[in-house]
Amino acid sequence: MKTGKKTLAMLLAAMLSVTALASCSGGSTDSGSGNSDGGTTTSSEPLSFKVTTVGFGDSPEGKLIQEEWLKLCSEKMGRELQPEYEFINMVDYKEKLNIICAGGDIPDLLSYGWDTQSNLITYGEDGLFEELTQHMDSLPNYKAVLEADERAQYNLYTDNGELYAFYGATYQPDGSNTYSGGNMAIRKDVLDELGLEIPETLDDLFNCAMAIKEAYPDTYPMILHEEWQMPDSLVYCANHTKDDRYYNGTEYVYGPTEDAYKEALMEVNRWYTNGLISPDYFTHTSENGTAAVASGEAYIIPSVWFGYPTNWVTEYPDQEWVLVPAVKNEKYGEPWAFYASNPSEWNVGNSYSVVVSANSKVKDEMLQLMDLQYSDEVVDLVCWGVEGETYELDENGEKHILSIVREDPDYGPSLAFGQGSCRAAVFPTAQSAVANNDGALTGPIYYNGELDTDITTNDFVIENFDESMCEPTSLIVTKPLSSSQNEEYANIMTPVETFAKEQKVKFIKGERSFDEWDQYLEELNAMGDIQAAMDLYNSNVVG
Amino acid sequence: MVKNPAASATGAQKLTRVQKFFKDCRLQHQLILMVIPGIVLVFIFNYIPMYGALMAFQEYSPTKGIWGSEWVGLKYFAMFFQSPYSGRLIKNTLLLGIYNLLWSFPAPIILALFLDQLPFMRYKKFVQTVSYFPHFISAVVIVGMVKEFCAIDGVFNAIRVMLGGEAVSFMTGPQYFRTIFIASGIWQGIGWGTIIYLAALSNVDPQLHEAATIDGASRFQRVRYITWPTIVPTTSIMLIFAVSGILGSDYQKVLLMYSEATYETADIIGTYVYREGIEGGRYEYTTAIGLMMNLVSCVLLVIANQISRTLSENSLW
Repeated sequence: MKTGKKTLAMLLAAMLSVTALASCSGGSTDSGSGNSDGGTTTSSEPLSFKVTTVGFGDSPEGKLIQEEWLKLCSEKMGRELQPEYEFINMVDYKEKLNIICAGGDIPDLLSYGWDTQSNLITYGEDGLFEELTQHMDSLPNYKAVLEADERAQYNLYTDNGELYAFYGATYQPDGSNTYSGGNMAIRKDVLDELGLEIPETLDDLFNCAMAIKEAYPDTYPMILHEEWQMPDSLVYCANHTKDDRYYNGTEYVYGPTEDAYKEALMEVNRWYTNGLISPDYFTHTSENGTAAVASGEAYIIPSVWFGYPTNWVTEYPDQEWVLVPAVKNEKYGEPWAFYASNPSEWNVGNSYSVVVSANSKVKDEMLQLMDLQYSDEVVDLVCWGVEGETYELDENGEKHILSIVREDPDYGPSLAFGQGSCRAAVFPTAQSAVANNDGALTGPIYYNGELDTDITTNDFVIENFDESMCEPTSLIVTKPLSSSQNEEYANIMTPVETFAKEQKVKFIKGERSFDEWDQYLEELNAMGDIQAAMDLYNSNVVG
Repeated sequence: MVKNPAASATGAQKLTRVQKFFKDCRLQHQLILMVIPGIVLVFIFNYIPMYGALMAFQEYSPTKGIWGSEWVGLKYFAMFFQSPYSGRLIKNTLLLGIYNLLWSFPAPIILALFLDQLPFMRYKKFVQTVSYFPHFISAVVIVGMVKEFCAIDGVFNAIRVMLGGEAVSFMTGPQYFRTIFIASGIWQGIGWGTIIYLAALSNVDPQLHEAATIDGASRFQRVRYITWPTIVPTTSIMLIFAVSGILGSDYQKVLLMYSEATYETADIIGTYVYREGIEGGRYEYTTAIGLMMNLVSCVLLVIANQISRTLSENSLW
């Protein structure tokens, strides 16, 4: 009996040791093989590679457009593609991205986003990402896209002329401009019930919210819908300022030092002290916002993604939501309602990109694959899908997204288009503004005193775009900060931004009087040399 | 060659020690085998990664790695102390840790003593089981529940309003943060924390209680002179661990609970390291801060151990 126990103990210990070592060796194998074993591949063998990209809710694997994408790229590459995906949810992406990069062992292809371009360049200059200008002759599609955007030569390259990423690009043959953050959503049915007009100014908005509060005293008429869409941003657009760095038409300035910012906080303080927004809103998240809309207790969303009111037409048919692109402050004139993009055939953005590992054993193949993503065939596939399945041709040979894709909210994700909650290929894929607009639902938009219920947001922007109503930052080109500039900026601005954010809450809550504004400015300036930080950006303005 | 008698004697002594060592190993080979997996795991996951602390003294480059990156001395340590927020971060971390120790450490001991005195076994087991439940709920869910309870339309405010008070935004008030953090921690951990003390209490000889009862000792006196001395060694060891953890408050829970509205009291070194290191990508800087915290925790552990050894003769080493 005693011997049996001893044997059992020894076996158990041996098993535990083996398990521990096996799990350790498994982990090291994974981390050690960040790049595919391309050394043994030949043109007849499948091309295996690792991709870490963004998950938007659904996996594209096995779905129509992803399968077609693999087929098309395999055909073009002359080898069967066998990508091994790792999807990281967009909410966690920035955090995971930083950890992946700091580890120095990155996959063959890595989506880069939700982080500053300066950090991307820092990692690139460190030798983590492949530098692309040396390969430009073998990247004809990407080269053509870059050359089509005049700004690209300034805001994508380093001072030394290096390029480290395949940046997200939008094909926009007719020019296209997206919104700024100043979009509001409002319940028109509630306004009609109370005999109220859709507000056009900040004062209208306040009076409207007060009337709703009077009618429904147990509710808060304004809500925070998503934590990255702060209610105060509507007021900043009306007051021509920001709660961060921005270009004011002459130079980069720090918004929290300006009188217009103070006035914006006074306005939000007016909302807060009159019970128009929940005292808890600073801690609210998208879960609270979604629940408020679903329960019918949300009436005004001061800052909202412009696509939601359209989506809610089908999602909440008993609620009549209307998109109000911006409200104005009479003192500052027309609000910042638009965000200008380059009116060239291709618009290349510097926010999201794909990088190729400098240590990838299939580097050349990855470069070729990424270049393919900018070819007409791949852009068409990812944006339009498959003829007969997702789009059809009219008598002029022009493509149109089929109504089943457009109108069934579940059908698009089940196919894995290059946008939405399920995206084929590697994010960010090149987009087609034409396809996006063709596939977009029409929704109610209130603008200039008129309500249009049969227009897409894209058409609305094209029809109404006015450069004088753009945030000036979007009208200029600024070179990205270098690694040293980036560190200098972070060292100065980290405490400044922390202080400004904290004080913003205190002013809104009324815990700090606006009579102390001058003292606040002194304290803010004592946190760091703000002008020196702004000058880093000013020195990089191209024009 | 003439042998040195002294050296020969030492060699014989060494040989004896080695022989004794192997003899002990043979006798305890089952125990040694059982400990090996733990040692391997601790070595791999706790000791090997320690070399990463070198990053605190470097201009870290992912491609050059720890051994190839440029050395910058104490640059990042100086940077932290020059930061306008270093004083507040240290103060918040210390206060949260000390308050947490003062309130959270005695709570399970008190509950264990109460449970031990319960004469109704079924009720005792019911209370134990119910008090264990929150331990199995994740911090994310716990914080979600706390936010709901503390919301402007939550249960606490409903009670306040019912009693004639005004609703208060607890989660955005920096003055409430520590109380909510510590109270929710006690709620989550008090039941689970009693297990080790109840195990210690099970060693009390019932005859001691019987004898004391016959001698006329009250319930309180029996707890004071029989039960309490039984759990003092366990309490001492747990206290040593708790003191060393003063700087290591659960920053993940703080991250879930805090906002810009409560930075004033809620922003601790752990959350700052997370914001700057993980979100901001400044790994060297935050590694330096982390290293400093660990060194201070280590010093606290040694001091607590020394004090415990002096006062109670119980210590880790």
